[in-house]
Amino acid sequence: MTRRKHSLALYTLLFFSPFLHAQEIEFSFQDHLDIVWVLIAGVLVFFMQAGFALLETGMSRAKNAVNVMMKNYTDVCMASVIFWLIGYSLMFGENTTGFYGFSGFGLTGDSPFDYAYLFFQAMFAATAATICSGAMAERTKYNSYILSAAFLIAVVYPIYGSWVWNGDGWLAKLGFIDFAGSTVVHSIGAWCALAGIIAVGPRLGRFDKRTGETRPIQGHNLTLVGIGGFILWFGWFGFNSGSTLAAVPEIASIAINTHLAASAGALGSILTFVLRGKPVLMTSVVNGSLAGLVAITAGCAVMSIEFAMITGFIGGIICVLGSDLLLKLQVDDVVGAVPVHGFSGAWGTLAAGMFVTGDLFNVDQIVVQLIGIGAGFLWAFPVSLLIYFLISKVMGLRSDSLHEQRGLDVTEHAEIGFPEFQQNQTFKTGS
Amino acid sequence: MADKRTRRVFFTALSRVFEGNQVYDAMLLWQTRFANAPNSAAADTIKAICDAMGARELYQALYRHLKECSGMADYLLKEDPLPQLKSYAANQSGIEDAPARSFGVFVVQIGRSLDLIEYPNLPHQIKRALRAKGLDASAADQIETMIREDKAKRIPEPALGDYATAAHIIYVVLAEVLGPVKSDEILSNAVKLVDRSKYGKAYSARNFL
Repeated sequence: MTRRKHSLALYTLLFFSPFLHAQEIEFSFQDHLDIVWVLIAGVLVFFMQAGFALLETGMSRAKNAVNVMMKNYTDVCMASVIFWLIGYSLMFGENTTGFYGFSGFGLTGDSPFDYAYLFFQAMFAATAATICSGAMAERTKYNSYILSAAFLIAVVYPIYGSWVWNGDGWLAKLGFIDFAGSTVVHSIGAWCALAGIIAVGPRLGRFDKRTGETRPIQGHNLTLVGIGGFILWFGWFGFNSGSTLAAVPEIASIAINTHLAASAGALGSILTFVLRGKPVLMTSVVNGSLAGLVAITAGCAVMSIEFAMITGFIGGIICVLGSDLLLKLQVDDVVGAVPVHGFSGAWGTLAAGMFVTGDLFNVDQIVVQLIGIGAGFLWAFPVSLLIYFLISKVMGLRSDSLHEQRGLDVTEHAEIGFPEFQQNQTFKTGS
Repeated sequence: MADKRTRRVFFTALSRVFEGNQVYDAMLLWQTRFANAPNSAAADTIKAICDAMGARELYQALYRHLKECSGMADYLLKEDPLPQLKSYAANQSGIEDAPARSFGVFVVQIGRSLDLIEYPNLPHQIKRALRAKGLDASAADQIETMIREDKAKRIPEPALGDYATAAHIIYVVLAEVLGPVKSDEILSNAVKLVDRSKYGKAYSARNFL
């Protein structure tokens, strides 16, 4: 509950005292510590974008490496500007209805708290947006993707965020627990990604049309995937511990919960493969650890270590089973974003209600959690599906099959990621 | 002629063929020597630029890219320079109709990579896809025969249209039947093998991809 207290304090500071000037505020040593901590956490979350970029690029084919990297890079830039201009106000502005905020667009307040909080939250928005890029990789037009991501950052993410993290949001008033965003950030991003995957369709030849068999399409550099996983894990300490919005002693327990849940998630993933007698895939283990991280994000501040590990462990298992489910449904998620962020995020949000220290298995809380999870899906999925279909009709969402053949690096960006050893690939790079 | 649109057409075409600073050198050349040339002399202009840049082998590729620029190419190349370009390419390579023969070898190499016992209908599926995209019936027949019989023949370009389009249609069929990874592999290997032949040396099979 520390988070809510601090959120309300910041909210009050931001919207009810716009005339307050920095020089008029007397900062205590703790205030300084808080601001520094939030900024450091924000930088850590920013660095997660590098992790996403590496992971998604590594899981894509070499001929699309630049395209995937570009989408991740652009996500950060767009999220920062659009969230400052629109998203932040819809999310944290004056919320009279409980369904959206509406004040303080294009924040120019001069409180260091405002800036630190805006910076931190903008990085969260970028995280939500970038989940879609990996899922829809290798066959989505760059311009269309950028437009859809802009909509996600400007509308889908902040509206749901206002329900949970705005003190007057209807889910916040119900007592919905999502400390750092298992649902607000990760599941919302994943439901948008799911809509995008459905709208854009699978990659050319991914599924056999006659038998329905899935054909593996190996990523071009699994080393990048491993490094990306480590960077994401590293950044997650800022994501979760920074969500206290204050340098308080609780950050220690949050950090250890985060770390152990990630480890347990990877182990859960490994165990699932071992029990099924299948080879343990490195990509799935990385995704398992990420699933553990996503799962613990909602409840990292309210659980004990044991339950944090259970949450992460089950998150890892759900991730593997969820990936299999999507393949059976012939849904082509290149990086496994939906199982990692969507399914494990939903599980983690539920677990946050089940495993509250001192209030285990409180049925009322579990019902509230289920309402919040369902509301997230019912908001993000249909709205983003509509947007993707509109974009598809107006400017086209899917790349031409010729571009898929040649690779989006050349056709969309006139660059190639690895010129030294791509000379004989099935796309032209020159004469 | 040296308006913005024409400049853009040349820049787009040149940047797809030349690399790095060569593009700017080529554009500088065009701007200083050919910017005022009439549309009807576009082919000569391109040839002259390629000659001056010492990049004669890029000539045909450049023309193909100009064609890909759809409306812009029509604007630029009002008078069809194809015969002139082809004779130039033939002179350069020493092989008459090198692109058509290179494409024939390319199709045969693709056929050699296919398991026609496991996928006996694949050549027919390719033929149907080519026909569905509007390819001349006799050319489509010929491609099917070449895949089955493992024997290269000359495919007349007027009947076939753009070789890159035909190669792409084949790629899509292979990707749907065999998967994109296998399809990439087959086409990549075919390019390597064709480029070792005399036709491939005269006109690289990479131009078909």
